[in-house]
Amino acid sequence: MSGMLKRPSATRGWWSWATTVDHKKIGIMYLFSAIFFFGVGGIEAMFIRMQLAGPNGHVVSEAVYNQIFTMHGLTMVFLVVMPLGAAFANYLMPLMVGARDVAFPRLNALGFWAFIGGGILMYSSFLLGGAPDGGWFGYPPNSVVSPGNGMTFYCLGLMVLGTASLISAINLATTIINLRAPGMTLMRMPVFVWMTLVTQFLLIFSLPIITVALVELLFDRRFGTLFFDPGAGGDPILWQHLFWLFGHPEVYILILPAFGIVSEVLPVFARKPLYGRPFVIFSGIAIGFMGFGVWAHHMFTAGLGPVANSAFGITTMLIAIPTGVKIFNWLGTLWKGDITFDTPLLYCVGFIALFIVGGLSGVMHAVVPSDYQQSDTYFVVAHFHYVLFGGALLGFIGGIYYWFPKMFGRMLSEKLGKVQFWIMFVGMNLTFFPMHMLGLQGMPRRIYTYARGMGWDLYNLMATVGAFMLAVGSLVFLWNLIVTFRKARSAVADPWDGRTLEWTMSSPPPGYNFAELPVVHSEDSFWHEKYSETRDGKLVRREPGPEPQSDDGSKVHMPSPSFWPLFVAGGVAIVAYGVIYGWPMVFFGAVVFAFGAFGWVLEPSSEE
Amino acid sequence: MRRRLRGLLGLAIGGLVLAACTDTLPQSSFNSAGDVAQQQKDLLIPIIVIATVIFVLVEGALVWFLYKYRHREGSEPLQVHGNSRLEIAWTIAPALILAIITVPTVSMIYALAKAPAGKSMTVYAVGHQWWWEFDYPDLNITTANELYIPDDTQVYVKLCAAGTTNSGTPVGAPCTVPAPAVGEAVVHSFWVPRLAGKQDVVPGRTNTMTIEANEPGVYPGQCAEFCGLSHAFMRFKVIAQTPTDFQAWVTNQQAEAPTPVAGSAADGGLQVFNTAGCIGCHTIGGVSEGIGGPNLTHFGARDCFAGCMLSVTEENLSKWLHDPASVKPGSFMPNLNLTDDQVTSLVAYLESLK
Repeated sequence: MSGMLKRPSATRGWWSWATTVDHKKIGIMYLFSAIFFFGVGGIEAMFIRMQLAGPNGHVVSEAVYNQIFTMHGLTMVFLVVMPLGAAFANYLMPLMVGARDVAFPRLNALGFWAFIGGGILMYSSFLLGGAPDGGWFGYPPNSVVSPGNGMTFYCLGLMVLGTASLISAINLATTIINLRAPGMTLMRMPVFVWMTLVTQFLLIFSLPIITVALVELLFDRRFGTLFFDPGAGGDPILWQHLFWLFGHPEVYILILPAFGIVSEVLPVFARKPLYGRPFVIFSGIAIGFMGFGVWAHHMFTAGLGPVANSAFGITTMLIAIPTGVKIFNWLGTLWKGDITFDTPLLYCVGFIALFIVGGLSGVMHAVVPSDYQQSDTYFVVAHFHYVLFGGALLGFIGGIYYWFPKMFGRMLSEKLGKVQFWIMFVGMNLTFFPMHMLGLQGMPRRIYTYARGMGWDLYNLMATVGAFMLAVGSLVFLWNLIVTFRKARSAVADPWDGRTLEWTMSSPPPGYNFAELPVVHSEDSFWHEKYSETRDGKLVRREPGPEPQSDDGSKVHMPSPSFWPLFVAGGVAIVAYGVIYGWPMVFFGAVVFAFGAFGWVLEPSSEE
Repeated sequence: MRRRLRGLLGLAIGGLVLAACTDTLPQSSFNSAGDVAQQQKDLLIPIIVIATVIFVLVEGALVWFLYKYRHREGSEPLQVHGNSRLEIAWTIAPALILAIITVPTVSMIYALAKAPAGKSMTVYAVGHQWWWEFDYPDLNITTANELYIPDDTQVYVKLCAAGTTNSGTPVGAPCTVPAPAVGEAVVHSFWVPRLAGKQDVVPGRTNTMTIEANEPGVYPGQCAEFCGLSHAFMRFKVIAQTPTDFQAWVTNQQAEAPTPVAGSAADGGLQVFNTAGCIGCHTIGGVSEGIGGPNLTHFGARDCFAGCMLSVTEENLSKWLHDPASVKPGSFMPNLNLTDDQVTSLVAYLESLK
């Protein structure tokens, strides 16, 4: 049976990207989308910092400020750090487990295009009467009564983005479980793959919860239901439970991939195996489970009562234990190593240094009575930026420097990378450390301005100066990307003396990844092909083995590109707009969706 | 090295404790002025000290390893894979530290949740968009944005959010009956950092907390939960007084509003107040019984208005009365298109309400 449209076959140009099902191309598209949105979210952050640079600021109006801080949070969480995790998982995980692609290549493309659809949905709200303005946490009743369509876009955008993540998570988890190369047992998997696996399960279990909450909020806003209306028997606290039952696992969704990256990078640049590998893996799994049991620490001041507050205070302290284990194991990896300070290591060390601060302030939040003072203040803002900027983001930037040669066949400039690191490291601390003090000195979050004479002027000014440093650091990174892409491809297959399978293939790898599937005999299998270990732990370089197989892979059958994910994702986005703009549009979107779905199902496996 | 480390540690902790104890900022949790805030601060400071010690040790180890084990030509490191005993040790050690922290944490959670046992007074704090109403049910006083308390009494604060809900139902009970219908009923958070940590104000629920001031003073507070357009301007003041001063304040507040001298500017203001539409929302004892807006019976005795965004001056008041929403974004007080003369006489009347 032939399909409804001719299967696309472009291998270069725009269409090859739009219709690709190759996990590497999709990974690259996630990466650049995330970098783009990082720029947008960063500009929003600069407006926040300019507005708060001094007392009684007037850079933007209250209405615009509320939209900007809401969109800054949503952007950085859903359009930057989550897609960065997806970028690395997509590009690297199949290479690391010895697979030629993910389990469901077209679903992978659908996940990406739905993510783009969600991003467009969110940002188009700025042009369609105003962006979401109820905070990323969208507490009702304020989010229900917020005028205009902003918070409706919030519900719809997050639902579409959630769908995208869910599709991608199921796909990636299946790939890790089913498509590992022969010999790649679970305990031989690279730690990055492990952390990616845990992340996908967190996504699979937490996204349905936020979806329920979003449906209720959307219905309250759009169709007059009263889920969160206390005047009609509803309860605003219901949203808080549902949101944070998603929202706290979400924090680990953001940070676990970065844990994985650090666990891959440190051994390479210390030339030592990861210290206590099983401990690192199991602590990651433990964090995944415990992450579902701490949500109410976001609600210590909501009046849940002493029993709930005690229980969640204790679980929150408990989750610090596996997190601490990871830090000690990373230190153990560096201990007695042979450390070279290439950029990837620099960023990963920066990650550890800053994550420690975020971890310690996290424990202070678990001390419930003092959290009554800290909750909803700049102390919290400081805490989670140490975790998510100093932690997750620096880890990801380290990952970009580390795998860039593999992805693009070019090395990023080490010199610019180091300049960027130091500007960002200093800027990060200058921006966020003073916020600890501001919070303890009584400055609440999400205020558009503050009065003179509160004593907050100096620290706010420092934070603003730091934010400008972060902007400069980001521009250096952009410059580095531009300079590097103008150079010819010259990266070798294994520039860092790597340990995992992705370094066995050319940079960038061929479309089919492995001409012949590798057989894995140990953890860090590529390293053990290059080095052996004596009984007392000395490293001995092996004689280079036979040249890698010269098979050109032309016999490998790879899935052909497809138009259908674009149609399906487009249909979903149009339906979402239709919820705001009327039933005809819903109907049109549904038709596009159905057309895409039928085309998908009837598509021949490849164009002969 | 070790001595330097100890010196650094001492300096860091000393600096922190010093900073915490010498804080004089108006709204700082470290500048505690009441028992509750003091307990919360006393719990936090040792934890900051422990955290600082851990911070210095772990970051110190990190920096030390990076320096000591930096790359040297021709050397290859021993391939150490781990050490279970050590790893178990560094799992148990933080668990023990956390277990120790848990004990005072949990006991204080329960202590703070109790209603006051000694000499106490109940006050309703009602969160409106975007100002605070304070009701003294036993004293029959209603005021706004300024909460007067005696400095020898524990004040048991019952928190309600007031306004309409999405379905058009006014809520606010049990704090206000009848419930006002101006503004939306949304989540707020009541926070006076120098007296106590915060507690959320949730529509449909009545959360409680205890505050206490050790000496007379003015303690600024602020709504801490994002509540819409003018969240930043939902400020208030707690004014603690000696019992004698407080009693004088109560006596004055319980009296009806003073009647202006016939023919004075204030008297003209009273006429405007009665005819321009103010009485729909504002109560003035003996004059009107409006609901929804702040009770103005003794407005002239207050220092600030509009969620303590503005201080009570002629200039601020006249700007406000001309067009509230242009001063305070989203304000639910309508623009009544008053003439300059009407505003001038209203200001005179309001200022006469001592």
